[in-house]
Amino acid sequence: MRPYQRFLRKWITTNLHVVTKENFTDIAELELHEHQQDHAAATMYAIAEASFHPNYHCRAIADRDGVVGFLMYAAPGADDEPGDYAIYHLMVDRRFQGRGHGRRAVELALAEIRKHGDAQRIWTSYRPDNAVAKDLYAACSFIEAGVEEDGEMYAVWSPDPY
Amino acid sequence: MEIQLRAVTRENFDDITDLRLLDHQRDYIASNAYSIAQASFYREMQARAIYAGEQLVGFLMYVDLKLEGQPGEFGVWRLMVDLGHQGKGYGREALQAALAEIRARGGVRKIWISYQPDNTRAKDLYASMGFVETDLDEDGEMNAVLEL
Repeated sequence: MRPYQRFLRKWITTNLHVVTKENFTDIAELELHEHQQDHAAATMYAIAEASFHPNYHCRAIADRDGVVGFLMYAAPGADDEPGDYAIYHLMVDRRFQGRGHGRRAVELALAEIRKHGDAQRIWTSYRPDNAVAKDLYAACSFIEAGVEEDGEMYAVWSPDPY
Repeated sequence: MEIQLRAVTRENFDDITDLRLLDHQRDYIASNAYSIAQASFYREMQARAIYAGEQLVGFLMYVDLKLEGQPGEFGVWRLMVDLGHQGKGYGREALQAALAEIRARGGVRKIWISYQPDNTRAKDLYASMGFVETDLDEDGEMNAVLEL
């Protein structure tokens, strides 16, 4: 571990909060870099979509001072394979990127999903050329499963079988 | 073609977020995804899909302003018609349908609307329906009111 990583680990907190009317505006104001803009629109889409799907859980990623990002996870719906969860729409505001929030948010989401008790697999997907996402999910023990028709790389996390 | 307002549901919301505006119109209004997301947290906010027959053509949202401490007053906060269906009078009919829904609640004295001062189409439409301009708010939007 490099010194600055020790520093980050000690001083930067990451929490997940349920999305509510109180933090919604802060989430809407999260900013991304130009080449990440497609993801910003996706955050509002995700919150809208989740309002019609009780099995979709939206979470604000927050540090001590407020909202710094967003993610959503989906519990299996009626049409899904039992035990299949998914993490979507992970984003961290450009002003707060590079501090480990994304990685810790995914770890927190994994922990929250495991509390549901029935998780067999947790899926995610990203553009194959998105090196940041690729490394982040690999660091969280996701294994790449392949590129699907939609052009996205799918990766899956499974609980330790032993 | 008959204009109808319908609820936003898990079946039509995806199509609503795909409705398009002309480039210069995009600055006039929040995205439909934003509005639907926002409305999901407030029972005072009512989102509606605008249909011409069975064709989805637009989106609107109105708000019970008791949310902002103005009981008996409503606001139409969003109204948009897809660029492929503009100029057919759908916006006017949809707004009339929304006003009828609001009136049907009873006890409503005022309905507010706001728009960018350079949005002449909005300005003319609302003026023709009896909205009277009142003031520019701190965001630079023109407020107009319909007294019932």
